[in-house]
Amino acid sequence: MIALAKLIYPFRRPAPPAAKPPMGFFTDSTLCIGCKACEVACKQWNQLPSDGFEFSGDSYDNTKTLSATTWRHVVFVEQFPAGDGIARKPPVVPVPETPIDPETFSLDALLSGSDQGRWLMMSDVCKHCSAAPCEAACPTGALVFNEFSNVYIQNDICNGCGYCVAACPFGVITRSPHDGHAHKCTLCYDRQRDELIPACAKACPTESIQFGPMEELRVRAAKRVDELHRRGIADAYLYGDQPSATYSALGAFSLLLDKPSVYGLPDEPAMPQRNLGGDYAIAALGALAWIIAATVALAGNAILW
Amino acid sequence: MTTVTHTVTKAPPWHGWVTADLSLNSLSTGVFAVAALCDLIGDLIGSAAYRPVVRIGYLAAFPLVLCDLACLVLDLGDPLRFFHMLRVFKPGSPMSVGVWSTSVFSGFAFMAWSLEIFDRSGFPAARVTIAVAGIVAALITAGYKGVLLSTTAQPGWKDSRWLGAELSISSGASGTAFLLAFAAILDAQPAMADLRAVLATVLILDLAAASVVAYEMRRAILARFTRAEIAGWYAAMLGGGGLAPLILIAASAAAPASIAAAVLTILGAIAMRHHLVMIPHRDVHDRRDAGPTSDRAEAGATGIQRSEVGPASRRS
Repeated sequence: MIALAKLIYPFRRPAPPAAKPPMGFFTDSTLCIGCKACEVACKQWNQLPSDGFEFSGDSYDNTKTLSATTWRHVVFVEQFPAGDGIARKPPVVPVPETPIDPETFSLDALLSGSDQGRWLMMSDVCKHCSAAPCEAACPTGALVFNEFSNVYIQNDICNGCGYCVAACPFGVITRSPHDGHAHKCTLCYDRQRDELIPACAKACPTESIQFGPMEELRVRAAKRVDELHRRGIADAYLYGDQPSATYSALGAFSLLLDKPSVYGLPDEPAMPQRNLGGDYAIAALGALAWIIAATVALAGNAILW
Repeated sequence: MTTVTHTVTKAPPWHGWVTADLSLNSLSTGVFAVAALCDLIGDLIGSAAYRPVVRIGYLAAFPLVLCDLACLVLDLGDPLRFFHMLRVFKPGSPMSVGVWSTSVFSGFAFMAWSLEIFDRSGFPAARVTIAVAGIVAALITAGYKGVLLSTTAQPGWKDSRWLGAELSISSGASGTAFLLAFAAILDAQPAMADLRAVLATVLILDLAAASVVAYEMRRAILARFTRAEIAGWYAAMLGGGGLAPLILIAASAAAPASIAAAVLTILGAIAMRHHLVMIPHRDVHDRRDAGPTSDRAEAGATGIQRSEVGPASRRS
C-alpha cells in the first residue's frame, strides 16, 4: 500500500494557491560591502551543507560560484592598475599609467572614486526570470512559478535529470551530489508565506539586497540610478529590470557599474527555447530527407530486380 | 588586475550514460525504421527477399530501446523517480516530448518484437499499422535528442540549428549499418546489395549534415579543444565514420567490406555523440594554447563573456 501511495503521490495535484503580487530582489551593488552576511544567512536558514573550504586565489571570493548548496555568492572584482611587472589584460576602468605609490596612496581618494582603481562587489543569486528557461525545460513539472511569481523547485518531484542545469544561461541551478536533485534559491518561499522577508535581505547590513513587490523595486531602482548619475557615477545602470530583445525581465535584478561579464553575468542572455520551433522543423526535415532517400534507394533497387 | 576566466553556464551532469543513451537511441530507432521500411516495401512488391533483415531488425529494436531506457534511468540523480517524467506533457520541453515519444516508440517496438517471437503471419493489417506508426514514432524519437541539446544555454550546442536533423540522419545511417552487417553475415541477397545502396545514400546526407553542425559549433569547439584534438575527433567521426564506409561500399560488394563499413559507421556515430556530450565539460581554460584569439572567438560566438574576477594573491 505504501509503495502504491508513493507511485500515485506525484500525480496528485492540489489546487494551487491564489496568485499574489510578484515579489523579488533589487541588488544595489554600489552599497555592497562584501561582508557575506547574505551567504551566511542563506546557508543557516536553509540548512545548506558546507562546501568545505579552500583559498581560491580569487580576491576574497572563496565561495567561487552558485551551486546546489550555495544559493548566495558574493563576487569580488578588483580593478587596480598594475605595478609589479606581471602582464595582464587592460583594466576596464581607465587608470593612470604610473603604478600606485604606497608612500602617497590615499584611502580617502580611493573610496571617493578617484582614478586609483576600484573594488566591485555584488551578491549573486538566482535571477527568478519572468520567463525561466529552467521552468520551461523541466520535464517532470518540478520547477514551477509560485504565487509570488518566483521560480521554485518542488523537491519531492525532481528526479535529477539535469536538464534545468543545461538550460540556465546564468549557471545558477545545479544538481546536488548529496541527494541527486536540483537545488537553487527559493527566494525564501517558506518565509514569504509567513510574511517574513528573505534571510539574505534581512541580514544585509547596508540594504544592498532589497526585497519587495517588483513594481516598487523597479521605481526605487530607477530613482537610485538617477541619484548616482547626478553624483557623477555615470556608469551606473540596471541589469535585468526590463526585458531585452532576447530575454525576459529578471525577478532578481541588479544595479551594476561595469559590463555584466565583469561580474560573471552574461552580457546578452538569450532564451534557449526561442529556437524551439525552428529546430523542430529542421529536425523534421532531416528525418524526412533520410527516410525518403532510403525509400527511393530501396524501392529503386527492388524495381530493378 | 589579474583575471581568472570561466564559462558562465554550468555543464549538465551528463557523461557516459548519456553517450550510451544517445547511441542506443540512434541504433534502436534507426534499426526499427529501416526494418519497417524493408517490411513495407517487401509487402508492396510481393517479395520475401527482405524477410531476414526485417526479422533481425524487429527482434533487435526492442531490446536496444530497453537498454536505452535503462541508461536514461541510471543517469538520473534519483533513478527511482524515473516515472515522474510521466507527470506532465510539455511540448515546450524537448525532454518531455522525448519521454513520451520514446514510450510510444517502445510500445511499437515491443509489438513488432512480439509478432516476430510468436507468429506474424496471421496479423497482416496489424503488421502494416505497427510498421507505419512505428516509423513515425522512431523518427520523432531519433530527432528530439538534437533539439533537446540545441535549445539549452550550453556553448556549442546552442549554436547549432541542425543538430536535430544530424542526429536523426545519423540514426538512419546507424540503423542501416546494423542491418547491413547482419545481412552480410547471413549472405542475404538481394537485401545486402539494397542496404549498401541505402547506407551510401544516407551516409552522404549524414556527412553533409555533420559538416553543417561542425561549422555552426566551430567557435565553441576552437575555444575548447586543441587543433590536434579537433583533427583527431573529426578524422574519427567524419573520416572513419563517414568517408571510409563510403569508400568501402564503393570499392567492394563483398561481405567483409560491407561488415567493415557497417562497423565503422556505428563506431563513428558513437564517437560523434561522445564528442558532443563532452563539449560543455571542456572549459576554455583546458585548451593548452588558449590565448587572446580563443578568448575573442568564444566571446564573439556565444555572446556570453567570461567573467573577469581578480585573484589578489597573484599580484603579491
